[in-house]
Amino acid sequence: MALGELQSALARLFTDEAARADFLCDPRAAGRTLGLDESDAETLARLAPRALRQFAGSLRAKSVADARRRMPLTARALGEAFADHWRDALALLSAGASRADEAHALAARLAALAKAHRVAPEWIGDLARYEAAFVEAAHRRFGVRVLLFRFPVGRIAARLQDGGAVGDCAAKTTLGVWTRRPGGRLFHRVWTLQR
Amino acid sequence: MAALADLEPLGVGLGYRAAFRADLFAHRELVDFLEVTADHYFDVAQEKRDELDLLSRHFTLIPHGLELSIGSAEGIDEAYLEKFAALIARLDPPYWSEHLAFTRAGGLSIGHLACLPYTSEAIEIVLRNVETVRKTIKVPLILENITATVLIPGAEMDEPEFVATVLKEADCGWLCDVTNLFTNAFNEGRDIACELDRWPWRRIVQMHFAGGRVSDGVMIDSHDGPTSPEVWRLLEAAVARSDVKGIILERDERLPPFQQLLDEIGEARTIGRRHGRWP
Repeated sequence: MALGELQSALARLFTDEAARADFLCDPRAAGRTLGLDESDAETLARLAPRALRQFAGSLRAKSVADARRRMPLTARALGEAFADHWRDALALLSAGASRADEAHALAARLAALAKAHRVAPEWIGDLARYEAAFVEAAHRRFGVRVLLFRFPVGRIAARLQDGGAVGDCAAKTTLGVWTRRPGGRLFHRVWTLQR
Repeated sequence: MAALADLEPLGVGLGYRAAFRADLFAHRELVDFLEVTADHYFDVAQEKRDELDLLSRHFTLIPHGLELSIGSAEGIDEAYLEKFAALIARLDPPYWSEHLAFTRAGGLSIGHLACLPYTSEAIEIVLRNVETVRKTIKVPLILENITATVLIPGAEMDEPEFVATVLKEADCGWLCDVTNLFTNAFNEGRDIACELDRWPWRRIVQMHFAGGRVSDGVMIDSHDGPTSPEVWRLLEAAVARSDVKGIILERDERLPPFQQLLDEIGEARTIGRRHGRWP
């Protein structure tokens, strides 16, 4: 058994839905497509389909659970729909994307959908961008990030943080700043520019 | 392994999660030590570094890795190893731990612990990787048995023999996750009580225990509930057969009132005392 090739094939099956579907349809052919020789393809074909599906499912669930922890307010505002948006956002990213990349991808998706009135509430894109900025700041030693929001995200976030409902919210241009000097702690503030 | 024989017992502690922090410090005297997820402190900003400093001032911290991928045929990721080495240099723990698994292959990060095939080739790969790791990190490494959700076909031996052989050949201590032991036996229809003599208990340095649940007939190590009676019995059997130095309760989801965690820690401490593992 060539363990390197077998592990590469397994990693594809665990993480790539299309490769997994091919495997479940025709295990031997899929093994060869994944670069295995005849003998290793035969070995891989004995993988239990149910266990494979279950492991892939647990990976997806773990990814969503991690994302909920990183962007809790967006998750709370979206409820059950958060998981689908998260998976759809990640589907567009290449392998090796950072947590900040993932958070920004979700924020970009939600912002685009909100702008097209295809997701509610209307401020969800702003809230996701707001939380994604914190995810990014948590992994940066220094730097400045300035974001402009259409809605008063500071107030929306505070309300959600307190466990309250937000519902519809009037648009008010808001400025957010995240800054950190080298080795220092994060400074963050939002200003609502419109009364 | 020999370097750990004289280690003073650590007692019973918790896998640290930020959500516990306030309760943890409010009950400081009831938690003997902490295990911290090493990966959570790589490439982080000052707030997380401060958190680690705060914890290290009050507790012995054991770094526990997730993505070293000690079983990867393509070898150890040097950049990851350097980050781990820097963390260990900072914390100066008596030992550190990783999973007997692979998480990376063919340029892909799986995002979770994947089972190794129980073969001599996989053992050789682990030995080679442990050797690589030891060139960079001198602090003893102990390895944890994982939940084998997907058994890899082509096995030449079973799990007890695989784990025992790896630990012996690599001369590593064992982080025995009793919940994972029970989970694998349950899912494979084995009676763990009948195979107790086959596990390398004398290599245990630390243990994990946690609650799991059964979904569609399959047991999952979900770390989201109280420890089951079966796992408590297995924990006691493992403590009786080993010279365990520390036991860690893991809880990640559905966090209960902190007192429930303290009760489980207290129960594990009592088991250790009953077998003379600590005062």
